[in-house]
Parts: sequence; C-alpha cells; structure tokens
Amino acid sequence: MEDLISYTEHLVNQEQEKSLIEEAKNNPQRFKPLYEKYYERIYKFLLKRHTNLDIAESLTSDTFFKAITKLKKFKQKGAPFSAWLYRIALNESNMYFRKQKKKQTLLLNEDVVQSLSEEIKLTEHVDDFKPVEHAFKKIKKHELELLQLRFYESLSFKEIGQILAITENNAKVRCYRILDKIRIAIEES
Amino acid sequence: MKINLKHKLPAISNAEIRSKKDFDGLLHRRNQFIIKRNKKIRLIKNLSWSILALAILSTSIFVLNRHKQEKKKVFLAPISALEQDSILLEEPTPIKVKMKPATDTQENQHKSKTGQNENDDRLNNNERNEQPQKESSPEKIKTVEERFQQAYPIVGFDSLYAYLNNSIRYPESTNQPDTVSGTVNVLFTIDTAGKAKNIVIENSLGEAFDEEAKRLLLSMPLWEPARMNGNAIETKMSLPLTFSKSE
Repeated sequence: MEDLISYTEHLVNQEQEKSLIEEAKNNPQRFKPLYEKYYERIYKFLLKRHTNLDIAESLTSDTFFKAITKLKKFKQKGAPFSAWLYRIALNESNMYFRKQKKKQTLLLNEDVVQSLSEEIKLTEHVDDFKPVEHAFKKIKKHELELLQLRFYESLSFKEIGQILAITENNAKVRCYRILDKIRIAIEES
Repeated sequence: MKINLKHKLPAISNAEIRSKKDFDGLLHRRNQFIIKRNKKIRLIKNLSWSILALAILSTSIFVLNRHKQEKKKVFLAPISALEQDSILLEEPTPIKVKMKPATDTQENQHKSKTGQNENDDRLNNNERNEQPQKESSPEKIKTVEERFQQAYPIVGFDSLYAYLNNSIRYPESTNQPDTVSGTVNVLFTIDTAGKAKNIVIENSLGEAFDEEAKRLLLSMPLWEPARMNGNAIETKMSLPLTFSKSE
C-alpha cells in the first residue's frame, strides 16, 4: 500500500515537473522549484567528483546556468529532467578537468570501498586501500563515470542509461564488466 | 588512467549547501547572457544585411559598368582617326609609302591582264582611308607633320607619273614571248640626297624587265627626302610598274 502511495506521488511529481519545465521555457522565474529541487543532488555529485567545495559550487552554478539557457532544447519525450541535469553536470565536470589539465579526482573513502566490496563479493575483506587504488587505475574514464553514478549517487541502471545515453541493459552489462575487472585486479594484487 | 585519489570529502552540511543556492544570481547571469546573445545576433544580422547590400550594390555597379563598356565597344568598333594618329605620335617611325602610277590607261591594262592589281587596289583603298581620317583631325596631322615628313618627288607626283609613263620601255632584247606583260613591284629606298637606291624587284617578269625597272628608277627626277624633326632620313618606298607590249 505504501509503495502504491509513493508511486502515485512520484507520478504526480513527474507531471508537476513536466508542467513546470514547460512553463519555465517561457518564464525563467518558474525554473526556481526545479533549481531548489535538484541543487543539492547536483552539488553533492560534483563535490564527490572534485572533492573541492569551491569547484563544486562553481560547477553547480554552471550546470544550472546551462540548464536554464538551454531549457528550450530539452524534450519531454527523452530522458527525465534529472538525467538531463546529471548529463550537463558530467559534461561541465569533464570540461573542467580538460581545461585545467588536471588528473581526474576519485574519492575512495571507507564507504565507497565498503559498498564496492559488497558489490563485487570479494572473498577476502579489504582493509587496505592500495589494491582498490591499483584496480581503479586500470579502468577507463567512461567506466569510472559509470561507477561514480552507481556507487556515489546510488542511481538505478535505468537512470544511468538515461544519463549516459545507453540502454538500461547496456548500463548493467557494462557495470558488471567493470566490477569484474576491478575484482580481478584486486585479487591479482 | 591517471587519477588523483582522495580519501576524504570536505565536510559540509545540507544547510550549508542550501545556503549556497542563489536563484536570483542565476537569473541575473541568464539575463546578461541573453542580452549579450541578442546583441551578437543583431550584430550578425546587421552585418549580414550590410554584406548582402554591398554585394547587391557591387554586382549592380559591375553589371552597369559592363553594360556601358559594351555600349562603348559598339561605338568605338572602327578605329577612329584620332586613335590612329595617337599611335603615330607614340611611335613616329617613317611610314612605308606605297604609290601607284596614276594613269587611267595603265590601270585599265592592269585590270584586264593580271590579278596582281588586287594589291594595288588595296593600297589605294588604304590611301583613301587615310585621307578622310587625316581630314577629320587636322590638329593631330599638324603634330605628326612637325615630326615626320614623307619623301616626295621635287617635280611633284604628277610629273613623276608622267615621266614613268613616257620613259618605260618594253625590253626589246627579251627572248620571252610577246604576250608577256604585267606589273612588277619595285621596292627602293630614297636616300638623304633624294636618290633611289637598294632597288629590289618583286614579282619579277624576267631579268630584262628588272634591268629596265632599275634604269627607270635610277634616272628618275630627284626626290625631296623624308624628314624626321627636320633631319633628312632614308625612307623605303614601293612602286608598281606595268610592262605592256602594246605600248
């Protein structure tokens, strides 16, 4: 019963969001509820990617600026608005690394290692970060993006697929392949 | 892939994140961007219109000019006397004067006997063409005459033609059949003393005819030499001579 209520609320929210987006296309003031709703999520996502408060704030601001100026290009038929925002945030983040010619930052704290260990079902408990660090150095940039969306944001494969413009199944297959790669790298080390 | 590993996330509360929200700032940034973009679009539009207008203007000017030029071309198709004279002024070289004995009887004989008269007719035509052209621009002629004066017989052309008519003899000693007749073209130079030299015979009818032509020219009355800026100069001339048994 609770699931049904939450699902109904979700649908209502989605419809409200759609009408808000349509209104905001002509009246930018109507963008405020969307901004309020997603600011924290985008900020936290970018903070985990850059581990710097100022950069995260600046990139969040840039993400919403891009969203409000390009809102007319957003189509309701495609990915949901949240996925569209994540994609903009990811592009802004990648552009920052490219412009600054900096190495990609990766947050590897206990929580991340713990969830990763559970996901890849390691036979031995990992106390040291070094094998995980070594394994992460072997994966590619787009693979890292997928893992970040999965483990930092706890997004579903469907949402990951919408953000990365791939199918849900493809997102799932890719994710498990990457995890296998990491598992093998950890076990080897 | 080279990555920069971090083990700690900077501590920040949800309240602090919320405090960073600045929707008014976002709107202001957006409005500034829109204004700039509109300016840019206006500028590009104006520039495009200007370029288009300029292109149309330049094309129409080009077309008009071309049209005018075509008109001019039609008008100036025959070379005017003025232009000819200006050419003469630029390069005042002695003109090769071609003459023809002005006797009607000879002319008639030429026409009836040989086709070589075509050259003569052409030369006559040239002379005739030159006459009206010179008449049409007397000022130019004056300028040319000051610089270059053609050679002419001291006794006058009429007397020279009379001399040539009277003195020309059909070579008696020739072995050629009696029917041989025709016109030879004699090229010669009037030197600074007014005498003929360097006599060359074109369209030779035989050695005897050539000798007669040379004799005729060497014994003809003196010429007034051509003058360039008052100084006597040598000039090449050509003269057709007609040999006819009937004479």
